[in-house]
Amino acid sequence: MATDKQLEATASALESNGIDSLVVDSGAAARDAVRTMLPIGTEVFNNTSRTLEAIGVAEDIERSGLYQPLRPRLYQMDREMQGREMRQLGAAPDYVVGSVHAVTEDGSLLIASASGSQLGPLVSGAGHVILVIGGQKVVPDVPTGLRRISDYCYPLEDRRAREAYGVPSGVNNVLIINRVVTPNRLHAILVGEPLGF
Amino acid sequence: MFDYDARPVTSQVVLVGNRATTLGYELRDFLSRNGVSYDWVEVDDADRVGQLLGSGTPALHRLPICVLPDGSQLAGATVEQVATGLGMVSPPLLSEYDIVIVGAGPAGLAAAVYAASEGLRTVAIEAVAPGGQAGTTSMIENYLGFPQGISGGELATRATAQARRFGAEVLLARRLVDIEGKNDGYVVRLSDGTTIPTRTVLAASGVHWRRLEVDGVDGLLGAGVYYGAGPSEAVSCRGCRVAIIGGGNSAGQAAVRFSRYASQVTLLIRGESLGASMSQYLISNVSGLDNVDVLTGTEVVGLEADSRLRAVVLSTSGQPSLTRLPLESLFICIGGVPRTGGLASTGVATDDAGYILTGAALGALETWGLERSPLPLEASRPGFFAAGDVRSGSIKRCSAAIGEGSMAVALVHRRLAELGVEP
Repeated sequence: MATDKQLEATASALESNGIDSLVVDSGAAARDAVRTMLPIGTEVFNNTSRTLEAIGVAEDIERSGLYQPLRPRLYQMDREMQGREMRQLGAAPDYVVGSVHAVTEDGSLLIASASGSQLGPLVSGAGHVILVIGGQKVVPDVPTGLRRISDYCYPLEDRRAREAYGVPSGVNNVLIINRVVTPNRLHAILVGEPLGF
Repeated sequence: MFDYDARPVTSQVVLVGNRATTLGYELRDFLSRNGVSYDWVEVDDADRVGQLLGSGTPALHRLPICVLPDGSQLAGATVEQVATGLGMVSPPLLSEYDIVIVGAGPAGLAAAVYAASEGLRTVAIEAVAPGGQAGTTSMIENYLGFPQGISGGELATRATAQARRFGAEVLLARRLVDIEGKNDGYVVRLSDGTTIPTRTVLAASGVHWRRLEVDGVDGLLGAGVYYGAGPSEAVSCRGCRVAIIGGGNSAGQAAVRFSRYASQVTLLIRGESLGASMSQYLISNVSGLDNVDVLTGTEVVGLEADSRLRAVVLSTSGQPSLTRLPLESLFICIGGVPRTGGLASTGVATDDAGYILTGAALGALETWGLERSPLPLEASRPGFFAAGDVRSGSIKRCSAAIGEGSMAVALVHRRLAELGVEP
């Protein structure tokens, strides 16, 4: 778990890489921050994330009625007939809210995905991205972050996927964000407590 | 996109029941058309039922049981109870409206968008889900502006979001009970007791599927027999044999959808060819599908069932003997009858088939009371309009209904100006 000083230094490094950053004490404060950042009525895709589920952000997005959540809309669609519409809708939401698997002290973000569907919107498809990151995910550098994904996150995610969906997970795609060139597009909320895995 | 990429991640509704029942089907249909994810558990799955309910097999009269995301349980759950439990039922926000729209299909949603965008205090009421009959269509390929086609459900979702963005309210899961004329306006009453005073009413309630006149059909509703395209049932038809009755576009679109899931699809039509009632693009699509057969000159005259449908008995013109077609599911997409339940109390004039007469079609009226004649979409009561499929003489097409819905709003403005209350 990163110290307060490490969190502040990481936030500062992210800022210098074009990623707006905020440090908060708790999951509850992170939830409030997400509420403040999401415009009422906006179209939002919440990535599958233990962090978002744990702090109530997934609930806020899918069930509060304040936003247009994309997951229930996609769920309603016919996978056989509307695959193209589903890809289009999932690829370019107004807002994506998610998490990462590691953040480096020099300001890079690492996200792994089995299907890869959530990576495109994070890089460029979504209009805005909000990432909520538990303080235990701070690592010194990218190689350590990659090891964290393969040695720590993957076994836990694999177990979750088998239980939830009946399919294995895999470190099939890894996104490393070193710098963001569009101002005010990507927002990181670093939380002073462990969240997710 | 994989299923698990799209599935809502928060707790789902769980329904425990017997799949082959009318109430079970109504709940699945309601939830799926409103984009609420659910998990259906058959009551004979003892392990899962035990995990969920913590007891043995529940008594039949308590089914279906709905377990809501907060863990609370509704026994003998109805659509209205589940909708309330999920927080989908909200009261109207205002004490009076400029327009109440009855039905949130294409005509009603178009009216809601235009009325709200022009500053009218607007509320639409819908008993099941936004989209109406068009909302159950898997893919509309000839709707203007969508070269790759758009599903009826997606069109409805977008239109509902658009209407709400302009400030229209959409009240779900309540039926219209009656409409009473009061002063120069109306009071609309819903099945939960809600009353809504309004200056004008737009009936955009569309049509029901025509009932199949065959013995035993009502008892099999949800147990292999479905009216409409049954969007909630498509996945469960994987590998099954399916028949669809009807020769219109809805039947054609259903055939295309079910061909993706079912092993065999049989389209049953009374006429001699599809050309009389189906768009050419759909005829081409249907004829290109290896697992879809079209039986012309054919009617269903009997059903064979135990606890659920097992086969239909067919009579084909020119053939003296009946034939038997074994199948698992029968979807009935024939014609339509106007949905005017609750509207009749106003005494608006209808044609012989029950569709609402408007404008010049009304002829001379004895009880009209105004110097002017009824406006083009105005029914036999001032300020009461009709648009879309429920209107006598309307073109039964999604885009035509949308046109009428928007046109009705222009006429509502004229009525409000006449009352001296134009906002």
